[in-house]
Amino acid sequence: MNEIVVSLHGVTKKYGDLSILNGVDLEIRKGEFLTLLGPSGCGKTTILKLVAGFEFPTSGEIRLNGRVVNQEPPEKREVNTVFQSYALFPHMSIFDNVAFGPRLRGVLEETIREDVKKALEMVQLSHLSDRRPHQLSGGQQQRIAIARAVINKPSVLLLDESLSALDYKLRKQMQVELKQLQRQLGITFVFVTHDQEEALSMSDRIVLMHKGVIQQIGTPTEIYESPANLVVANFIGEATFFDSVVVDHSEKGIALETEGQKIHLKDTKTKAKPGSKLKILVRPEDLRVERFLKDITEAFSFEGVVEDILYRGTVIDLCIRLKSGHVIQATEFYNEDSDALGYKVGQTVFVTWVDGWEVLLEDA
Amino acid sequence: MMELVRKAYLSFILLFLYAPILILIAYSFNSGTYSTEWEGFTLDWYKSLAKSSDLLEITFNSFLLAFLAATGATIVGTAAAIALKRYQFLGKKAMQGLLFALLMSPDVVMGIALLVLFVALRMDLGFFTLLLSHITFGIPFVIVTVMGRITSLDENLTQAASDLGASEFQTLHKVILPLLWPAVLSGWLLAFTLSMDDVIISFFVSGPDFEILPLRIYSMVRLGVKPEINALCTILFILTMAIVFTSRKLVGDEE
Repeated sequence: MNEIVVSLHGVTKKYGDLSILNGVDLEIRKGEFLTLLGPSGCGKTTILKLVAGFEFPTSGEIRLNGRVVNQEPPEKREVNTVFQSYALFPHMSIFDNVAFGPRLRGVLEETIREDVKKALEMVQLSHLSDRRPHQLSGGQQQRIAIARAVINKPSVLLLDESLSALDYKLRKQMQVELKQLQRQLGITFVFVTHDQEEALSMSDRIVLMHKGVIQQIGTPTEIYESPANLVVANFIGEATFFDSVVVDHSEKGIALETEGQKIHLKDTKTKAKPGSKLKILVRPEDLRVERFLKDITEAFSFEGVVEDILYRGTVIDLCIRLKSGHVIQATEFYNEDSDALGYKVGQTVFVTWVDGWEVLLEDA
Repeated sequence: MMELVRKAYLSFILLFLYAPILILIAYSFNSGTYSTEWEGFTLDWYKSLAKSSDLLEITFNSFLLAFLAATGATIVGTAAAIALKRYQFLGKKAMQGLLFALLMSPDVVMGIALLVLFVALRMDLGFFTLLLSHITFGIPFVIVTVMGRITSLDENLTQAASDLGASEFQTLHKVILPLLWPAVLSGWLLAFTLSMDDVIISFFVSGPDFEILPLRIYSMVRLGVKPEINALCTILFILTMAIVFTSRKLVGDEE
């Protein structure tokens, strides 16, 4: 199961002086759903193009099924791509589009007819085989593009921001369908997106990129709950940060000074020296907000004043100005049993979190 | 009120553009030989045109030349346009620049330049020098027409083709050319019409053995406009319109 299909070793890509990828190391496992996630311009699409063969690396090595493919043209690689614009051939029927790959390989026309039928049934569009691409909706074109790619039984299917052109509802539906399809086919999917929600919900592993460098590779849970650095923490999800200075640490935990207080946390992983700066990352939904100090069960809490209340349906976001002047955001579940929101602007509250739910990150 | 102004303005423009041609067509049916006054309807000029065998031969010459020149220019021009858009090569920028210079350069300059070249190469002026010249001035127009279409094509389409296993040649044959076809046809028609009505360049590079229509008309007119010429021009105009409409229809269906 842990067989490697594609591997990149020290891959660098430059356009003139402009460096797009900087020494990327990545191993893609057989059968996994891997997502390349990052803001636009981070190099995620370049990785896709290098694997597909539309671009060649400036240095480094790319292997596909064990062989080096650095300069191999796309038509020689057992990899297929689903383009962001779908790129269906407008002058061909849907059938001919899907049959394009097998025909080039010289498959018998009878076999092709069978295979195309199966591929179209798989995406539930067999009734449209005589249509032209422009007669189809965006979602349908998307599925045809997938059928056209998977009919070739590639080792890896590359999907370039494939869902971004669809509207919200259709995108949600396609996310589920893609995931099902991937399980059903057992093909390795490499999915490129800038949408973190999409990445978190679909992937087996996420590769988070920033400025041509891989920041973290991990499961969605790992990426969300233990971000490797500030870049990852800032990109994924909402985050509230507290600036702190290390006072001391031992086997029992770490002592930090933050918001004018000295607090103890049981974290023992951080080895930062006393006096060095750390950012304490807490997800807004992990912050506890209480109106009375007596309700705080943790050893520490920060006093603040509610500045703003944003109602977001199932939850409410509170903007709280702490005594230090630092404004933080906390997300509280809406209490359906009580009519009132429970909070008022200008109210004094106390903020804390469960010891151990925070992430300590070195302040870059 | 605005509606009226708009319609009047449109009619004025159409009248301005087509009045000369309409007058020409009207006079081709005028029975008066030299007068500019209407003296009654006649088909005599068309009949005498049909009898003049050398005019018919010259017309055929012109069509043959235009057909071959347009075809040559289209083949070279389409290949060049694809190369300019799809590949990187030395001198690409220079070629693009020179292309527009060629489009803008005066016909007289082009005519004399070609003449000097042919004389230097000791080529006899005639069919081949005409054909080469017409191919030459047709090429830039084909390139510009085809390039416009390539630019509007989704670059991912050719990438998709090679991604699905198509070689460079297969991509060209199965994807690029079928998609460019309307533009290639337009380019061919443009080269055809340019060849059909070129006087200036042809004047320099033609010889006595191979006469073409625009030059014949030009020399006939020097002795005054004969009614046969009106008839001939009317036929040419109608033929051109027919070609334009057919091509529009073909291209329109494709899209």
